[in-house]
Formats: sequence, structure tokens, C-alpha cells
Amino acid sequence: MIQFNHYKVSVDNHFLFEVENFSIEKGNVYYLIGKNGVGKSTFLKSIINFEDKTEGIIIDRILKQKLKQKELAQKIAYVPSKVTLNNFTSVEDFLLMGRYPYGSPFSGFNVEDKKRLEDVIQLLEINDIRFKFMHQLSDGQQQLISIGRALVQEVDYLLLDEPTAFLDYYNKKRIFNLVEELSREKKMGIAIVSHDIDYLLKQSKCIFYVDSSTKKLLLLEQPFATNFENIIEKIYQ
Amino acid sequence: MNNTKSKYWLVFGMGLLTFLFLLHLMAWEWNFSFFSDDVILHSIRIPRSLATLFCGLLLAVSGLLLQILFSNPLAGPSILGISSGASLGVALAVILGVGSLGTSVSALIGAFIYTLLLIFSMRFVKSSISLLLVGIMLSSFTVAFIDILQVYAQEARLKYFILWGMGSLQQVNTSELYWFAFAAVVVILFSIYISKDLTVYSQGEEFATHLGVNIRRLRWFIIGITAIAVAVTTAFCGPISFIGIAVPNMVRILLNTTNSMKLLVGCLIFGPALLLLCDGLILLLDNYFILPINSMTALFGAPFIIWIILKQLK
Repeated sequence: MIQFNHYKVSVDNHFLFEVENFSIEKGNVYYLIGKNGVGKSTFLKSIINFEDKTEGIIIDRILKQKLKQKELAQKIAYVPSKVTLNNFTSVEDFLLMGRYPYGSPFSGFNVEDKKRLEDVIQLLEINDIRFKFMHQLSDGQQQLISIGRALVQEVDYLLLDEPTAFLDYYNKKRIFNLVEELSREKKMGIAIVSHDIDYLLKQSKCIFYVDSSTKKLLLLEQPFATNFENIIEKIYQ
Repeated sequence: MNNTKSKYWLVFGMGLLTFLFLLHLMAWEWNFSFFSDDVILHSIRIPRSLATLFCGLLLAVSGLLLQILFSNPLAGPSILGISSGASLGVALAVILGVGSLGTSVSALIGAFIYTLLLIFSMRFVKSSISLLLVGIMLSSFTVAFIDILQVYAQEARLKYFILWGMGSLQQVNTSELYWFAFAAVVVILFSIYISKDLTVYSQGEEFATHLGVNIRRLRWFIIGITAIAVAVTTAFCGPISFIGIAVPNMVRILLNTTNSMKLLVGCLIFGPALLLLCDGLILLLDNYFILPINSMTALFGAPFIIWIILKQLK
């Protein structure tokens, strides 16, 4: 469980919002919504940022400041909305980068690394594209591989930053379904920043929003499907 | 599938390297015997062949590291001005008249400072083309400074410096070869040590941080390794251009991978091979005209770089 106690999100010493009492538990999915520029992505990145020493984060009962950089990477993975492309990275090489936190400088990939790779390729059904290069894939496939890398990384917590921003409706549903499946079957704790409010409301998910007047992260109270306009006003004012 | 193909390339490269090394050692003389107790062989040919070998691998590896550091295929020790930093160090050392070791140390300091300057300017310039412009300006500034120094230099030292500036692989003596070997071992070991970090780093700086790569430490390693490699080659053989930029790109295209370990091995093989080929051609033409090594590497390197730029702009 990642616990937040009066955690202040800020960028370059500029205060954005406060996370008073929030936790990411294993086996649950949390959706974060809010205006552009309110600091949702900054929040996710600051969780995984090793050099950010702001107090208020406890990961599996250990203060975040006490974890080493690689230990942090063994617990939490961050997936951006679009992967940086490098023309010479194949899908398999990209996935294997997820094993970096477990390796030491002179070691190669061991049996466990290879097994983990095969498991993920099986799970995501991407055997046909494993030898392709990342830049040859569609946006949806790239996003899938990017999440796959986090799975190869064997983390307990997954932070997804607008994973569906560049995707069509079919791929959007596919990613959301995959995320639900991962939390259910792999017992991962997942936080997702998203702008697909109508989709999320329809599915009545566990939604948090950044209230811009109080500058706090709050739970969107249910039932909310009844009055869509009110909610929009509440969040985007 | 991809793996076997890159293995073939590496084996082929090894064969090519051996062949070129022997050819270089024989200097195209077919009635050559390795077992003869020949003075020319021991005091001229073996040092020159070994110097070429070390130069090639040091320059290629430093080019590879710089290209990954700046995530820019056009980066290289000569084009970014690091070589000219080393040259400035050498110029100062020659004019002050310190010995061989002093020259190397002075070159090392020059290369190190210039790499730091580049890292510093990277905070302000983001685009890869701007960074190259900074590098080019840095080297022309340095060249101007060296020119001014030359005006005040003594005749003998000036002559030495001018000859050195053309780049030559034939003046390396045995004690300098030990330095070369030492630098090569250090550079290779540390490059292997950071190769995993490099692979992840080539996928983006932020990506690497999130996977637990210590970026600051990695940067210092790259700066240190390239400074050593560039300083030693520049101090002993003069500023040799194009190997550092052309070879890593060539290897990347041949092996088609981001795996830094494979790229590193490729650079260690193809870097010396290309330089042995260039210097071998100079040996072949030796009876008709004498060419400096830089004109030979430029003949191969310049068209290659234009090709990469055109490919990038597409």
C-alpha cells in the first residue's frame, strides 16, 4: 500500500495541491481527473521520482526517503502517455529494459528474466510483434508494450499517465479492461490519470479529482451518474 | 532472427579486423616474415599498427558514448569540439615545453573541461542541431586561440605542433604505447560497467530515471571515459576526425539494436578496422605521396555524415 499523509505536490517550489489522505492499495484501481495543468501528471511523477524528498509518502510501511533508487523501481512503475521512440529498439529489447532494476552492471539476462518476458508476451498476446521495432507499431500497440514493460518490471504498483490519450475507442477499452484485469488477477495497485470522464462515470469507477478551489485531492462522491453537468462544473469550474 | 544476423556481422568484423591488422603490419609487402628479427618491424611497424588499433577503438567508443549521452547521432569527439579542447591542452603543453606525460595530462584537462562546457550548454540548447553549432563555435574559438599561441612559439616547437596537428599514427613510441594500452583497458572496462545503464538511457532520460538509473553518476562516467579516450589519442596522434562519429552510426545500422553491449563490441571491432583501412591505404600510397591520416578519414567520414544528416531531415 502506498499511503499519502498531507503530501504536498509542487513543481519548482510552486505549490500545486495537497493529498491529505489517500492510499493506493493492491488490487484496486484509482482514477484521477482534473483540469489540465492542475498537477496530476506531476503528482504521479513525483511518486516515482527518487530525488523528490518531499515528506508524506509511505510505501509498504517504509518511508519513501529510505528506499534506494532501484528498490523504488522494483515496486512502482510509471507509464507515460507516449513512449519516446528510438529507431533501433525492438519490442523484446524494450520489454527487457524492465529488468534493469534487478540486474547488476556486469550480469546478462538470467533464466528468470527470460521467463518473465515470455509470461508477459503470453499474457498480452503479442508474440507476432515481438521482433518488430517500436516505431513500426501503432499507438495502441506501443501503449500495450509500454504497460508490458512495467509488467516485466514485476512491480506492485502501476502509475499510468493518460494511457489512452492517443488511442481510438477500441484500444481505449482494451487498455481499461487490461488494467482492471491486472488489478483483479495480479493484485496490482493502479493509479490512472485520465480525461475519459464520460466513460469512467458510465462504468462507475473509483474516481478522485483535484478540487481547484481548496487545492486538494478529493473522492468524487457517488452516485454521480445522475447529474453529469454538475460534476463537470464541480471539477472544471 | 535479428540476433544471429548481428552475430554474423561481429564474426565478419573480427575476421576483417585481423586481416586488416596483418595487412597493416606487413605494409603490403608480400615477402614478409613475422619471425624475422627485424628492426623496422619492431621499432616502426608494430608500434604503428598497435597505435592505429588503440586509436580506432578509443575514438569509436568515445563517439558511441557521446551519441548516447546527447541522444544525437551527429555527436562525436571532433564535431563537438572535445578534440579541440584536447588540442588546446597539447598546444599549451608543447609551447611551455613539458614532456610526454605532461602533454597527455594537459590534453586530458582540456578534453574534460570542454565536455563539461558542452553539458552545461545542454541546459540552454535543446535541439541537436544547436548543440552541434555550439560545438563548432567552440572549436573555431579554440583554433583561433591556438593560432595566437603559435605566433609566440619557438620555431622548433611550432614545427612539431604543426606536424602533430595534421594527425599521424607513426610517431608513437613504446612508452606511449603503454599509456595507450592502459587507457584502452580503462575505457573498455568502464564502458562495459555502464553498458546496461546506457541501453536504458538511450530510451530517454526520464525513462531511465524511472527504472532506477542514477543519471548524474552515469553522466560523470561518460564524461570521464570520453575525456580519457580523446585526450590520449589526441596527445599522441593528433586530432583524428570522423572515426568517432562515423563508426558508431555504422555499427548501429549494421547490428540494428540499442543494446549498448552489442554496440560497444561492434565499435571495438569496426573502429580499429576502419582506421587500419585508412592508414593501410596511406601505407600503400606511401611511395607516391604522403597523406596525413585526417585527409583519409575525412574522405570516408564526410560523405557518411552528410548521408546521416539527409536521412535525419527526411
